[in-house]
Amino acid sequence: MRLADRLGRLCGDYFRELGTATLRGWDRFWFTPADPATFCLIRLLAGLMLLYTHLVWTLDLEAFFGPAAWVSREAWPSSGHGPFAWSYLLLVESPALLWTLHIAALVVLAMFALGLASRVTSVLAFVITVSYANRVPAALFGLDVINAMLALYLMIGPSGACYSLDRLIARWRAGGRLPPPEPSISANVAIRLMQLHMCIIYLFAGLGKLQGISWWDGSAMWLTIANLEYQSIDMTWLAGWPLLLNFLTHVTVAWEVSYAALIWPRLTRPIMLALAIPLHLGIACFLGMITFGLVMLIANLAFVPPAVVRAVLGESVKHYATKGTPPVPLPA
Amino acid sequence: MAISALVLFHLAAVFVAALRVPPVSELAVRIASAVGWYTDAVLVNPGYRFFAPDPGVSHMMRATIELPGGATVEETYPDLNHQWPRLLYHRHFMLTSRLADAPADPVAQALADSYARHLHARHNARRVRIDRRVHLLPTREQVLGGTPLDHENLYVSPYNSPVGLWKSEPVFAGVMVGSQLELRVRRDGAAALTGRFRGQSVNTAWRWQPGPPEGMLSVRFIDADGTQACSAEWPEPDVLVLLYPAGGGTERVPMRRERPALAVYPEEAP
Repeated sequence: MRLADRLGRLCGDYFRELGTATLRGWDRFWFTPADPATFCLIRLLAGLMLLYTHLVWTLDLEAFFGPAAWVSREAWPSSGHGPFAWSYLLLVESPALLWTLHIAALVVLAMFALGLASRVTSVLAFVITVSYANRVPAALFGLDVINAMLALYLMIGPSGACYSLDRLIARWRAGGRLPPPEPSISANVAIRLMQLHMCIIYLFAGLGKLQGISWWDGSAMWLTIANLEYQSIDMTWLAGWPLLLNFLTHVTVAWEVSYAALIWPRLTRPIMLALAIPLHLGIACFLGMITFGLVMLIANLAFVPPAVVRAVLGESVKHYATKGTPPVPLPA
Repeated sequence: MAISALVLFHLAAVFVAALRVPPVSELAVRIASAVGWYTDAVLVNPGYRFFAPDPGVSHMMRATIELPGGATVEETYPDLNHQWPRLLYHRHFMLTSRLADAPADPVAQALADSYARHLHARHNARRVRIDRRVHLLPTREQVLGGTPLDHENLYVSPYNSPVGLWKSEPVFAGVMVGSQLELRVRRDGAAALTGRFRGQSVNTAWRWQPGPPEGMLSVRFIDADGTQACSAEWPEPDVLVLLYPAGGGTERVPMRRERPALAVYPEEAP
């Protein structure tokens, strides 16, 4: 056989195998039914965060959404949002209607957090979250970004399958005996989307920092600590520990940049998740963004296998083990 | 198959939307724009550049509010003493953070105007004036030397636009006998130079444009027929050097302005 033929055959074999393996891996990654425990726990925690976020708007509702809001409806078109942004709150002129819709939104979000009529309330929760966020883009920050992301993906799967009033009601209707929720493809798709979205978030958060001098020279951590408007606990005593500040700065960047790669292997995933805790608790406790720090930790739960969730909550995983599918399949 | 296609489209859209934050390539902008209808609609369009490229100073604002009875109150935003819980405080902090590029950036300036209108309505005020307040970050050495984070020297009010009323410096009028100029630069792009130059009356209307971004900040003044009438260097926020054409050359006219407000409501000419 000529050399060219042999090379052609080798290439053909390679691309055939590449295609087959990719398709097989793709199917396994996205479409293996998964125990919805992690997904439902995220619904419970993210739902509570959505409820709190919108409850706080109540304290100054008309100032942010009323007829004479901080960002007036006249100023809204040029307030920095995308051209296709939408919000039903832009249609509301009367304060009475605004309050009515707001109370209804809080009720829906409470129902969603508790997992009541969760198929419907998950969609409504997303509509509410995006509408509030888009009405005042000038007041948004990371919390709203993650809230919206979680609300988007929580629409996809059976978010009320466990840890929910829906589940309690179903059990009551079944006379108190109800088998555990079935593994679900949609729960897996939703969790996978959350996981990949988190990778994109940290990748760009890390790459963005690499454009700044302070993240290279190690001073960035000091700059966050020295900002009085962010500060919730005074950490300026660290001024006398420059090498520690350098270390914290470098660890932050290294962790964010490498997250998208190291969160997937079984061996490094626990380390990456363990590092997420001090990082985000630090933001929560010292930089005054308790809600942002917590919601990032909630989003990181997407990488916690359902078996771990059930084990922590003291539940049995026997049902899922006998199905022959791992609760959350990991990529090969 | 359809679900796989949707998943692929969605993730690609999230990725390019995150990529769009400047500095960015023309290719990324075009792709992100093409999927903007989707990323805007499902709110997956932010850039995720938390504390990047560098953690920065705090952009705040001070509002001076003339109440109907004649009293004046001053409010600072954000203010932990008045905005509680922390999330509500942070909302106000984000509002003022968006003013960082006002008045040079039209979006930021539109927000400043809107904030002034809001405070006017909220207090049923006669007049509201908003000023920028930037809280600088002290160095480690300053803090170790005893400077508190809220030291008064750390608060400044820079103003990154030539908009305002400029008057020639008395020292210039002394050298150029019979000269006294006023330059009124309006936010809408109109500029007017009035007064006297070497005893001759000056009354000129121009359009103004900011100069190229690199080098010293500068302004160009354009005639009605589109040619450049003169220009100005703008070395400091409140100092402008008008390069005025005279006698075949240019005269340097140093000018100074009163600190303009970021926004005033009801609006008035600068």
